[in-house]
Amino acid sequence: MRPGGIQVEALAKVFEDRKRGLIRAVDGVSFSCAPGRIFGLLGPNGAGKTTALRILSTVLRPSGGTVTVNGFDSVRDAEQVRASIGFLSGATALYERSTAREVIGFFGELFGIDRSRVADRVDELSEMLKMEAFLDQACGKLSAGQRQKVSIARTIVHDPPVIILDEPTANLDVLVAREVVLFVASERDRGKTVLLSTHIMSEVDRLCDDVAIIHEGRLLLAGTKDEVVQRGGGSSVEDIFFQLVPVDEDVAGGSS
Amino acid sequence: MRWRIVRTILRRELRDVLRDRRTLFTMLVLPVLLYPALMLGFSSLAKSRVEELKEQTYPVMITVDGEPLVREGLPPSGSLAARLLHVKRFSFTAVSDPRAAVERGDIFLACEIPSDLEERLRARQEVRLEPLHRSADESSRVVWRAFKDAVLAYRTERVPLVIDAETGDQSTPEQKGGHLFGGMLTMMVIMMAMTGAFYPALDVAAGEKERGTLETLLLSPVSRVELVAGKYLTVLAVAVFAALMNLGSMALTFSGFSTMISQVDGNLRFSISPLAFAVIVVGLVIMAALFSAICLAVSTFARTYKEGQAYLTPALLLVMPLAMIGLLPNMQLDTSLAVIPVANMALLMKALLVGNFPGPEIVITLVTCLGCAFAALLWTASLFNREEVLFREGKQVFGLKPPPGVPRPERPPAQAAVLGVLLGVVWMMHVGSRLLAAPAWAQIIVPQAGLVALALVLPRLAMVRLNSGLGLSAPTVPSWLAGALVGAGGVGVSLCVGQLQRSFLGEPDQAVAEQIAGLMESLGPAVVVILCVAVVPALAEELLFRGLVLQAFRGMLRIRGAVVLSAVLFGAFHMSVHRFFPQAVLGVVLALLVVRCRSVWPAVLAHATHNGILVIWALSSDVPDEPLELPYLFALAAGGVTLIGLGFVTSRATRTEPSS
Repeated sequence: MRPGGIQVEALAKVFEDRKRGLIRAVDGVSFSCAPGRIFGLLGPNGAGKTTALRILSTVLRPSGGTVTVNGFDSVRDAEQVRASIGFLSGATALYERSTAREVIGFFGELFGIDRSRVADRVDELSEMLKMEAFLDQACGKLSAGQRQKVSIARTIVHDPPVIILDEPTANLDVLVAREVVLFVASERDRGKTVLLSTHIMSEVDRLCDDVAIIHEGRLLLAGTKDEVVQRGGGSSVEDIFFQLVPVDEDVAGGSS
Repeated sequence: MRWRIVRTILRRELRDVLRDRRTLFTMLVLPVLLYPALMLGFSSLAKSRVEELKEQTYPVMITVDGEPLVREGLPPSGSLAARLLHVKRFSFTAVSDPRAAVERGDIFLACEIPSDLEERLRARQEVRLEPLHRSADESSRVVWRAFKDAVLAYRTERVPLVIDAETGDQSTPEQKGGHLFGGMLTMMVIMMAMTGAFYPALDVAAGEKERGTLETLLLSPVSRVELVAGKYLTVLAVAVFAALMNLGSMALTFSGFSTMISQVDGNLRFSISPLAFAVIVVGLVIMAALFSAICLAVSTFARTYKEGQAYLTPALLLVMPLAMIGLLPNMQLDTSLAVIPVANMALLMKALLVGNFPGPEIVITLVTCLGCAFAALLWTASLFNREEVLFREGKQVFGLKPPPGVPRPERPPAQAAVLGVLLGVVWMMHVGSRLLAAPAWAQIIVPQAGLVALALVLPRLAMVRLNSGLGLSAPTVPSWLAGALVGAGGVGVSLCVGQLQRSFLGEPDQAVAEQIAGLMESLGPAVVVILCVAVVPALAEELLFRGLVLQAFRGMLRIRGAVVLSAVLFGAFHMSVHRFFPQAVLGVVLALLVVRCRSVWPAVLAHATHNGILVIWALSSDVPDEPLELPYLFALAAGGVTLIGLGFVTSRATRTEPSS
């Protein structure tokens, strides 16, 4: 039987920048996420989180190491990997001129759902995420919270076994953020593999079963939440995080 | 490729494009309103002007033997003066200075008719009439035509030989119409196909990148080929539809217009037969296929909508002259023109509209156009697989300056080198032709000074220190020695290459050599000649090609590539087939010298030595025009000296700096 979840083995990504030379955005990172658990990837901006997640989603090719998602190799079986993942990040925008219904339906079709069944699936998601009120409005006219709901619906339209969320609550008001948190927890309870990248520590405490701290492309600490707290020698993940990641004044001022 | 997926993408993209007001406007509103509006404006303006011109009379001054002609005058019937008096548009006046009056526009034509015109014509003498008029003035032209018609009618009366152009014309009215309007129509159709592809192509690739939805799309389990196919078909569909809208609106508008024309001139008809219509539509679809592919490729490459526009606008300007080729007189589709995309289609459509059917050229035309389209699509698909194109960051495109936050670069960027060579060529072309009257030394120094300025200014604009950017650091003593050796040996090398080349390319043009010899002669004393011909060009060309160009390419390529590319550009810079190879070989040797010595100065010395030896040779020789015949032993010796020069420093340099 194919192993489920995500296995990342010695992953590396080197960018060649003509002016700055070689940049090691991800440098020998290994971890694995199991089905039915939420894996938290923690790190400051520029730590290499987004690059690593882009490799997981196959839009970037790794320079070294391997990624296996739901038993498929991210390079060899890129299309199957993409079909197994629901991916949400700040860079995955919605078509502004299309309505929420059209966007969700379009991606449903691209992910292989029959045209006849797409409409039912959209209604189902709309009910689940409470989107009925704005389902037929153009995405460009929606609020940030409404958009995030549409994005979440777009992410799970094909009911993927693996869900990767890159800072899903960034720039959301507290009510919507809470809904997102509840949604993530419910997906875990349905047996999905969830990989969550965030720097909101309360979410980590609330949601994550496993945690990895990544800084400057390298994995500093990984394990279950309790293991990490124990090994790091602090009282909470937040303590460990700030012990391991030196606070740089320049970076601290930047937004997400 | 799964057609279900391609159709899904196509459907969504089309819906999206149709919801974009910009595209909708250029696609539907503009053509539907544009042509009728243009037509209406033009025809009413033209009509009012024509009416005005018809009714208006124009003051002219006709003198017969110095005596001004007046309306009430009674010249002998049948004379030219009598005929001119019948021209209704003329009002006859008399002024004291007809030339000035015509110039000022007070009168529109003034002409002296000799009183013995009749007698001289009867005696078969030539008579010249020299009317004063202004051909650039529209009213004066109307008067001119009336005058000419009157004179020609008068002449035909004397010599009754008439060529009837109309009765024997075997062209059908449709063919004549096709000939008159075919070039215009094909041009418009091609431009329509191009503009139709422009906006949707920008929207579906660069626009999608800019809006951030491309990454969302790339996350779906869709192959890149399916993605490109869906987007391409979208652009193609919109382009074809927009062009057909244009064509339809234009046809409706002009059919009214052509009825008007055929009433005026029954021999001219512009009707579109079903066959011609099919030709136009097929041609349009092929052109749309080509432009859609090219626009999509460029748009995919661009980071933003704006950047895409910046790339595509020059392309549009480039296409225009190609599309206009059908308007040029005496242009026929032949096999050599059939390989030029766009131009071939323009000529083919025109030929088909006139009723010609060029067999093999049709095949070549179709293969070229569709081949180019296919190549562009392959490029697009490969772009979708390139991370640096899909996730490019930063805003700089052509800027020379490094982006903020990046330390000052050691070497100038490659675009500085390309810009330097291009500006250098343009500068040499412009300044060379303007200085022909200047003193000989200026003819040489001024162009070279421009090259020096380019080499010094461009690195500064790129915020590169001149020392590292041009390789200006002081060389070691052995490096100087090597420079001298390479220069001396290089004479033999370049002469040998030149001689070898003569057996392939034949004798070079002697005119250039004579011009140079003449220039050298007029320079005067030998010191000035050596300074102008040997030292200054050496300095200028080395700073530009072994300084800026070589260093810039070294930042981008490996040493071998940078040396060869800079040498090829150096050869091409001399803009002569005969000088290309000798100069390129010299370029390789000098570039190697610079790389080994880590300084441009030994190359300046080598170049000056090389030129200096040739100059002294030419000055001391009695017959400088004779091409030098060299024994092979000499060639070997020259090559040996060059190699020793290069090798000598290599050993020195590696001893002092083993790190390289």
